[in-house]
Amino acid sequence: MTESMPTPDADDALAAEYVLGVLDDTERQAAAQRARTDAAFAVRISVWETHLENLNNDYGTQPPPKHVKVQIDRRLFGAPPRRGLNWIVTGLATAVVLLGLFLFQTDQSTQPDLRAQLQSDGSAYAFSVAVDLDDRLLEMALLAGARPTDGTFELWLIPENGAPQSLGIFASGDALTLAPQVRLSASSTLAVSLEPSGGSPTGAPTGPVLAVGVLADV
Amino acid sequence: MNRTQPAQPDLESLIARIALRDRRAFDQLYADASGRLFAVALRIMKDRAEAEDVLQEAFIRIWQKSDSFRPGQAKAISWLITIVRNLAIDKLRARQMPVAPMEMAQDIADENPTPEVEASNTEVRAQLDACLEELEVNRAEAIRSAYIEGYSYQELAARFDTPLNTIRTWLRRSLLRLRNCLEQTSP
Repeated sequence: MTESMPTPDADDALAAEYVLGVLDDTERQAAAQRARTDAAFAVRISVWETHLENLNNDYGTQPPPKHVKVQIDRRLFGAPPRRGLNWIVTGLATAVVLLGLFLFQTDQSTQPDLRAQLQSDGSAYAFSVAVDLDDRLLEMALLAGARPTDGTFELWLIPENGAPQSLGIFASGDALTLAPQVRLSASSTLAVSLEPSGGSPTGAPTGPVLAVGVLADV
Repeated sequence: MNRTQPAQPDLESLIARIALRDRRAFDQLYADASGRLFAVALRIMKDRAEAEDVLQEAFIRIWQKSDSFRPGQAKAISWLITIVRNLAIDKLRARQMPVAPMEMAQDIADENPTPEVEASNTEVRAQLDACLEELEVNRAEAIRSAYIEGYSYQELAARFDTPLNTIRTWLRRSLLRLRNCLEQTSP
């Protein structure tokens, strides 16, 4: 395509053609590639997006079929949908925990002193916590919800006064060693948040809180 | 800002929370915006299964790229629709799909504009309409239909029964006239 327009207008027309969507594959890809390296051109594109955005109202609304969200969640989180199948997951997890409890009971030396189940309304996640105060070990298990594909779980002690204290990061089921300064007892509140890989960068929870629970004597 | 539903988080804050990997915000955004985004995908793809694929890709991109949203630069709904339009048009162009029959384009999408959005944008929309009206009728129509339906130059040429290079020349001129008009009349 030969151009008789002066360059700024030619660039602006190209940006408009890109936003309209009329270019063929080769030209479209070239324009998208240019926007990645040429900031001025990228700005022209976003100005045209704003110029034309009010045409968006002409699209109206069409509810998508239900299975689309199920597929999105499966691809992003590898998890079944929250409702419906959730009770199966929770049921299976409970069976595993009960079996674990049974095995624990047969071995007196590792019996925990404190337990909690962490969950939250509207959250797909549930965790169990078992604390052995003598060995200063804390066992975490993921009962429901998917392991994060991007990031990690972090367990927090929420004191009545003061800032949450990190007890460590874990994947789906891990034993955490309690630091010497950590004091856990019946009625201590624990919470799990989702944090970037390696744990909260700030030392305080930054991601969403997935589950909360209170420790109780076994 | 007048907020009609203060209890509901707006799309901007949902996108910000998605950038923090908040799945509940993601679910809420899907509930709030998927209808508008699916309408866009359907209108451009003109095929339900393909529109579903585009919607799926779009939400995966939204989850992954939510940190690139800049609230000061774009309206949240425009940012979301741009993601869907770009995915849909990329997909069509990648295989140079043949021109879709006109009747399909018409029965597929809901013609009703989203009422609350339309009301809030009446003024800006009037400005765009006024500037489109300054163009010849078929040129305004070409711009509008290219944007809404995702037509390529090839398809516009067939539709307006005009050689591709002619269409391209007058569309580019019309776009620049539209720009000049919008920039003159904007406050």
